[in-house]
Amino acid sequence: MNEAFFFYVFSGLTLLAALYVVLTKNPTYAVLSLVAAMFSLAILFVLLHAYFIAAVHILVYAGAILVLFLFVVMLLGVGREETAGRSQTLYRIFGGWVVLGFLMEIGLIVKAVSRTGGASSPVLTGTIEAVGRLLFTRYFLPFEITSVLLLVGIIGAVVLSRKEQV
Amino acid sequence: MIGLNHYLILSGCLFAIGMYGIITRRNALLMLLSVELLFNAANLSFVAYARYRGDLAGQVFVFFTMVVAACEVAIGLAVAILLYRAQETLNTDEIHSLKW
Amino acid sequence: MVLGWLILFLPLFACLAIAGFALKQDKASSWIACGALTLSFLLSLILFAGLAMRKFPVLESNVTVLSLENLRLEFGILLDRLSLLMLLVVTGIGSGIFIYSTEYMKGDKGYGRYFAALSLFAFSMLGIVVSTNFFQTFIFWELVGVSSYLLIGHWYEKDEAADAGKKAFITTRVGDVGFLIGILLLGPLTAAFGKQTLNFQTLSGVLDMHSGHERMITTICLLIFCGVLGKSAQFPLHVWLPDAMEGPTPVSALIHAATMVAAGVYLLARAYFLFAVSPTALAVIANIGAFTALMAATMALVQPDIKKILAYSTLSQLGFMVMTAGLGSSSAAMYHLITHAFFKALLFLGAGSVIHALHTQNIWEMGGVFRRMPVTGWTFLVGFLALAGVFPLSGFWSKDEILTLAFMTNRFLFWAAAATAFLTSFYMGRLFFTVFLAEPRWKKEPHESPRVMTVPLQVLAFFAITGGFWGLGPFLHSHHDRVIEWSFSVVGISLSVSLAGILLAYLIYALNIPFLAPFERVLSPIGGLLLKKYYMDDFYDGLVKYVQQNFAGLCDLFERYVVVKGMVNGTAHLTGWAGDRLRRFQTGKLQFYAFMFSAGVTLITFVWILIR
Repeated sequence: MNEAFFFYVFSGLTLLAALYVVLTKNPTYAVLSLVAAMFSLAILFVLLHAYFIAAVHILVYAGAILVLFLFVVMLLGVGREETAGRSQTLYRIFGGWVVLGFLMEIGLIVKAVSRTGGASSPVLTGTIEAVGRLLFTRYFLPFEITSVLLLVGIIGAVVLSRKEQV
Repeated sequence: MIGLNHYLILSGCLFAIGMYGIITRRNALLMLLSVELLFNAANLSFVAYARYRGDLAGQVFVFFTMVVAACEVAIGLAVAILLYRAQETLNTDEIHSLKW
Repeated sequence: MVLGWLILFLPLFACLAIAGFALKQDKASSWIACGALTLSFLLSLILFAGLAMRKFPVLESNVTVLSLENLRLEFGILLDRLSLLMLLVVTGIGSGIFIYSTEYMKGDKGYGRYFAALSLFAFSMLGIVVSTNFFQTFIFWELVGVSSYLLIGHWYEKDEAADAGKKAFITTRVGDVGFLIGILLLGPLTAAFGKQTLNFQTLSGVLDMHSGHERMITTICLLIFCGVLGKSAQFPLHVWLPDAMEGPTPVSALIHAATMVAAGVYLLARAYFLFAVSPTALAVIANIGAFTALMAATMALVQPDIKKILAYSTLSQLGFMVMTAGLGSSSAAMYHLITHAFFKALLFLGAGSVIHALHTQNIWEMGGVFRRMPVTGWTFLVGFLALAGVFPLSGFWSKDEILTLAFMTNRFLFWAAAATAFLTSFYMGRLFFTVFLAEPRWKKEPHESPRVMTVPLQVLAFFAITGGFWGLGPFLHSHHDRVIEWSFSVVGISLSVSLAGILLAYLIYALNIPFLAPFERVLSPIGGLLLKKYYMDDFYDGLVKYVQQNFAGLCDLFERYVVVKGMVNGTAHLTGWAGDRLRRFQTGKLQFYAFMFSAGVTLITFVWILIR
């Protein structure tokens, strides 16, 4: 009972927040509602017994990435989005169709997949130890590579935002 | 009761919303934001699978995607700043120097 | 064997030598050409003698030109009785004519060119003679056609000569198409029998052993016969031979009497193992031959040009040869070919001698030549009697074999042949009496020709007289030929027919008895028809002008509009248009790209779902 209640509440919250992200005209509001979406998503993760991931999710996404977004929005002084022109309406309509189609596809796929059986297996808890164990044994190489990736990202960001030297 | 399918459908909806955002948004920054939504939808489905298939690899994968997302945002924002510096606007309608 | 190769290639070297170095030097070119050919002749004699001592084994030597999986193209020398004999004839008569030409063509502008072309011709003809397989024969067949074209059109400044050359080449080409298809069809046929081959010896063996495939063989025979139709000028491809008289007279003698036109008959003999299998084909051949013979003889009756009379006579005699082959004996056909070669060459050279002296070709402008040109006169008389088939000249023997064969196998054709023989004697008599014995009508007094010209005449006369006694018939007999038995009744008929013709001609043209005056009204329009060659030339002319030209025009239109404008230009236009349309995708707008992205993903997923 509990699980279902929490699931529906927080998934509804997530969807609402996501919709707001996409539809609002104010960029700051968009970022902030994404933060809200992140939080409810983290709770969903907890529901799925992925404790470590939930924590990291909040730390990294809400705490770092979205804050960065906010900084840039403030820095650039991005104002409200202008009212839509004619092309915008077109995009909205076509976009709507595309999205609907996509939703249909998801429905079809899920229906097809569930026919092949989705038996529940014993629940594994995603504690730090468990995940960590995996990370440092089986998935060690990707782990190291991601650190290299981070390094590259940093260098890239620095290089890109340098003022051009005359 | 709450099965894998529920989470998958939720993930699908989130993804759809993110797609709509990409198509509709004119501001480059907000487009990037919608991309984040896409990422999260994918993460959700990964974790759901990890839970219902009993394999923690899903969660490990989410870990990695988060790292990648972080890098991507960093670079993306740097590019956006450069764009703003060059064109004085972030409105994608007015950025079309790559037109034929 | 080496001798064989030498004999074949000597004239080629002569041609190349002349063309390369001596085109302007008259004396050198004639010496090179004559020397080469006479040398070939001597070598042929030696070869003949040598092989005679060994009882004529069949020798063959091949060089492979192209060897693929199923296909093997060879080039070689085949020495058997048939080819050896023919070698002697070609090189022998050829040498005589070459020497004759040195005097006849003296002072001509294209002297060197003439001898180069003659040598090329000799090479090509010898190539056909010694050929070992159909492919080689075809190649040399075409070469002979080219040489003939060059020689007929030797005086190319003259429009009629150039046109005649073209006519000859194109008409024979029409026949050659059939020939080629026939050769190509041999491929699958022989493959069906086991081994794919075009070689004469091999084919002969194969056909002896296997049977069946009647219709295919008949078709091939008829197609190959098309080539014979063209080259030996049988109906309906006979139209080029009279026009070919535009060429110099020695050329007419060599090519259009003795050798090239005989190539068709030679081919029949060579490939007789093939024809012997198909009675249908043989029947067709016999009838066409007889028809040509009779038709040509009728046309010779009214010609005023001495060379044209001889040309039609050649056509007629070729018809005889073809008919004989069709009736069952290739050896009798070859026999007549050889005797005919002698006396026809003789007649042509004699005519040339007269033309050279009187500078005209119209028999009505000649007359009483006998007294002034005795050697020419006597030799011409010999030729005339031989052609008419008077005992004991060579022509009698060979013609008699033909008539006996016809008598034995096909009465209808026999009477046709007999009628033709009558006409032959008649028109030859007309020619002889008008030119040599009638009242002189020339403007300038003729003198006997120089020895260089009369000696070949005498030599040829000798052969014309004695040719019947050498047993050529039996020499060439093969197991495909019918055996021909002596028949007194036939001899009687043939002799009486010949003599009757001569007598009638004598009365009308020598004594000028107006026999035919009462028939004038009937005969005149017939004469007109004959003079117009039964309107065949006009028919072909119309055919080309209306059918072929219009068709060509149609093809041109098709190519111009459909192919070039439509397909080629169209493709370019399409590419341009597509490019123009497609570049609109490069809007440079991020939103647009994003939309395309998502739409694409959705679409692909959709397709993927469908497939699953």
